[in-house]
Amino acid sequence: MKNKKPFKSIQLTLMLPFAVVGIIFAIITGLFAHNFMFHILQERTKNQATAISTAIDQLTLITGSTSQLSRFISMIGSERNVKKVSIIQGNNIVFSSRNSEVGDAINDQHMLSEIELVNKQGVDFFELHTEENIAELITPVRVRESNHLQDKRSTLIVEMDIKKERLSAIQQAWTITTIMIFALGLLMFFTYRLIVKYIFSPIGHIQTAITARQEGNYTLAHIERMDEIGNVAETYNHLIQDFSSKGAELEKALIKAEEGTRLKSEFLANMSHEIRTPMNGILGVAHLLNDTKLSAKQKSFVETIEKSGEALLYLINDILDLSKIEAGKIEIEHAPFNLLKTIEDTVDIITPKCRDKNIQTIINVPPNLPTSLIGDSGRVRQVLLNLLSNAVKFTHEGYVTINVDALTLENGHIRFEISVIDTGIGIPENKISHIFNKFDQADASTTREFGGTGLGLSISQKLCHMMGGDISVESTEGVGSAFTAYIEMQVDGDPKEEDRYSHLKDYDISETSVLIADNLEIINIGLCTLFKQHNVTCYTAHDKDSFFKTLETKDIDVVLIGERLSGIRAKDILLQARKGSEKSPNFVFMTNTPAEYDKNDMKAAGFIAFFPKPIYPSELIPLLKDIKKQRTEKTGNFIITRHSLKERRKTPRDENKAPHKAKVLLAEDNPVNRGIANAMLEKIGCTVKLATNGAEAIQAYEEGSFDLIFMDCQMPEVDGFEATKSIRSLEGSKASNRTPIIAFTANAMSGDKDICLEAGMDDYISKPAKPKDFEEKINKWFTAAHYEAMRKSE
Amino acid sequence: MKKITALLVVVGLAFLAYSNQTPSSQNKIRIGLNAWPGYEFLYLAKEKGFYAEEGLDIDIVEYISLEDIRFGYERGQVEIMASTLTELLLSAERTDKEPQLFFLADFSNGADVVVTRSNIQDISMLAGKVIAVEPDSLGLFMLARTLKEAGLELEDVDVVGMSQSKMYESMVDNSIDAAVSYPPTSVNILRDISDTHTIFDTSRIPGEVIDIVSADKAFIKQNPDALKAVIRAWDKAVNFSIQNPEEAFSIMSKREQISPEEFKDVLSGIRVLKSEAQLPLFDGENRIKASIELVNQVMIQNNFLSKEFDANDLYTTSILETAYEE
Repeated sequence: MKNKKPFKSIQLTLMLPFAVVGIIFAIITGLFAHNFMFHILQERTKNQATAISTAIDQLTLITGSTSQLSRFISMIGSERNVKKVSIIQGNNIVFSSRNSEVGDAINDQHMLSEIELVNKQGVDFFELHTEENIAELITPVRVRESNHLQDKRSTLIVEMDIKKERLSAIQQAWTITTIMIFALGLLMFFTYRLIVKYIFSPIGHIQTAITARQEGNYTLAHIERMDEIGNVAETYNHLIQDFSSKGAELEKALIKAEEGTRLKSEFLANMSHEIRTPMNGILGVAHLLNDTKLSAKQKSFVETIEKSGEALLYLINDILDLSKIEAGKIEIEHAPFNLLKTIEDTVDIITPKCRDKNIQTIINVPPNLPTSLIGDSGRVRQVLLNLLSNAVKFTHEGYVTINVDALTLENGHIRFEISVIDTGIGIPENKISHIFNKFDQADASTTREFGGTGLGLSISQKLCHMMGGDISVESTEGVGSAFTAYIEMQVDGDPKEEDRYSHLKDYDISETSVLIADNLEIINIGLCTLFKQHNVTCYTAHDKDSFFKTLETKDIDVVLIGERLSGIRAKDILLQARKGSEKSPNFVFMTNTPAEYDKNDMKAAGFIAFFPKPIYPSELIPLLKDIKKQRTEKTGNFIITRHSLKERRKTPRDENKAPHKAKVLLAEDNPVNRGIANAMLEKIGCTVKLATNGAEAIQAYEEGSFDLIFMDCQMPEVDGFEATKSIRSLEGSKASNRTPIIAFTANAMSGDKDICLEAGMDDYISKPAKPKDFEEKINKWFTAAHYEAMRKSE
Repeated sequence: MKKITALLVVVGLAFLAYSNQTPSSQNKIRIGLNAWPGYEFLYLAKEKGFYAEEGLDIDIVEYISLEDIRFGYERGQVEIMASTLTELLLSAERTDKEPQLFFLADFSNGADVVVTRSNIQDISMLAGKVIAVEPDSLGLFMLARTLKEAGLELEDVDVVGMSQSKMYESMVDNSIDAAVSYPPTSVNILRDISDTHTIFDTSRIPGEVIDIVSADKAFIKQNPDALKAVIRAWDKAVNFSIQNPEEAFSIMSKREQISPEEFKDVLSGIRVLKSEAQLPLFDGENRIKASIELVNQVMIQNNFLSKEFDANDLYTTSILETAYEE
């Protein structure tokens, strides 16, 4: 469009040649008219002069009187357009309308030669002297004096004054030219009007209609004529009518489709509610049942129930997620979170499955990875969990590597990528292109073998899109797959998170040297990289020989050792190392199968720490510091574990957590769910008051005071929303503290949370809930409030 | 669009109107005169460029007779007529024109004559004789005044009308006995034909034959400045003839087709009037007005005129009075 030529109207293009032709025509007409008028002037003057000459010639023949002749000549000379009349005999003027010239001789040679020529040939000579405004006729004339038998040979000169005639000729030429110009102007004007009326104006109508169409209005071009332009307009109108009817159809179809989607969403919401309620019952009971005394066989049955239920729940959640995404009802949150923690938590979830399949997990994090971000940690976790689940699902042996990397963008954003690389079955090349399609797995048989809906990747990809990223895949069949999720997020420039290891800050580990000895070299390299970022000297060994050699030659403070090295158990390696050397580095035991080992045994064997694999990047430095602390303070009476590290992380505030002491009101109409929730809350240690509907909940609130209220939304008589509103207004009238109300609902559709918050609730817990969910909410709401209250009372 | 159409029409009409304008070459003023010596000073002014000096473009139109001058004036061939009172009155009666005398050329003081054969000794002998007169002009008044001296009437003589040049021929071939004539014809007759003499001239009726310059009343009103300029040019010509008589007489006699000496003699028979000498004639007894009335009376008596004019309508002194005013 940049090179578009400037607009040039046809009107101008048409009128210009018109005008030029008109002007040329007018000039030609003017010249022609002038010449024509001049010709007429010449003819007329000549005729007059000739008539005068004829009269003069005849006069003396008739009267025989020269006195009459002179009078006649004087009268002729008095005519306005006659300048002078003279009769010449020889070279002398004998008669003249000018008395004073009579008797004079003619001196003008030119005139004399003309007179001679006229006399010789006996013909007239007529000449125009335009610059002097004179027309001159020289002609032979007869002058007969009385009593003379012979005429005297005479020449008549008639000089006509043509000034006035000439001016009038020029003027008439002008007039004709003017009329021509005027007529041409009128002709051009009316031609222009006709062109405008029949061509430009209708084109303008069509243009207007098209412009209106572009702006979304269906306007017809109103031209009721049967000519070329009329045809164009008619064709356009047909087109537009076609468009508008099709548009209307489309609109109808769209409304129908939207209605269909809405109905589908409603159906899904209802269905999810209907399924979640019994699921809550099944899972809750299974959970509670598992805590009772059961035989090994019974326990296995209960676990099967639990796993099947959870699988079913995942399925439902997947379908729900997808429909939410398609309905555009998923909203991406923007809240501060720690990326590393999210990754580690997610790996934590998948670790049990890895251990079951004896697959190792390795996490590689680059130095200076910005971990404090603002975004939706839940969705990041969902994407990563999906990728990890797939990786573990399709890997039979080997390991799963998680590589994290980040690229700093403008405006304080980063684009981080999380790659999940497995050593699994891989994806056939011809299937790679559509593994992100819904309900489309690499092979129908994989569904049978591995299970799953095939929705996970599709959902993950869509979530990444919503977070400004994507998922890519590389895979070689039989070798493994690498899925990489790219996500854009804002860096939290002002992270609120406290340094959880602040109590270890006095322990400098920069001069510590570490030897990592696992038979899987990739683990050694990964951990070593992480240590080196903190200026820790790091060595690796993946077999017995290199291990002992390094231990001999280097000054090693801490050894991280896997289960076996060159087939020798870590315990034995430790013994051997202690035996043959005076050095006593601290030994940390790492295992992918922590269940097989007893930590007390390991302590007895001389290990200072016992860690399940994978060791998370965030744990490495606290681990070293803790070891140093123990060595410094010589308090070597316990073994360091992940749990002990976590315990140390807790702030004093965490120590005061007392969820079990919370006084809770639970309003739930479904007896099964009520029972399960009650059991779970009591198991945590809460004192629970039950209400079967909203009215009872209000009554209970009025009668007693609670730290927390769990409120089902849909209840008979008075529902959760109304009950909440009543409680809030009661609070207002009693001027009492605001009691946190947490919605407890099976409505899983987006927007439900908003409705709850609008009604005056504070948070949201979705059925089926696990004890962990309750504990989390109580921690969040009760502990915070409790701590606040304590602080005030101090 | 209507506005544009209207604009086009207006512009077109304006153009037409412009191109139809009459050319402004009509400023030329034409003075009709004959060979009367008194009028030669009007011709002299043209020859010496005095009109041009006064910013005028004047054409002198020469006629053979007074009758022709009157005819030319009545036809519109000339704007200014040099004539006698007779022509003025005839034009006033016979046409719709309103001629007014605005300036005088001279008094005829012997130049107008009645020439006869030598055998006619006195006026009373003219009874029954053939006498040539310019028809419809001063000649009739002149003849009537001549006959009156001897108590005769116009019916007592045989009057034939002819032009001055024809009179010469008729005297030569003896077809007439007498002619009412004036220079240069009278000079030629008396010089060329042996048995001729003057029986009566205007020196015997001084002040009765006045040579005048007149124009239309409307023309005078519209072109006072031009007419004043004519008067100033006239005065210049008269002054020039006094200071340079040889050159002046040579120019003027040439047109008269007589010698300078003859012209000098002729001039003694007329009294040329400069403008300063003219105004007093209109004062007091007002000789000009009296002359107009006299001529009017005589012409009525001789049946040349039927109407008695108010003499005041036939002259104006406004041009003369202001000729030298700024």
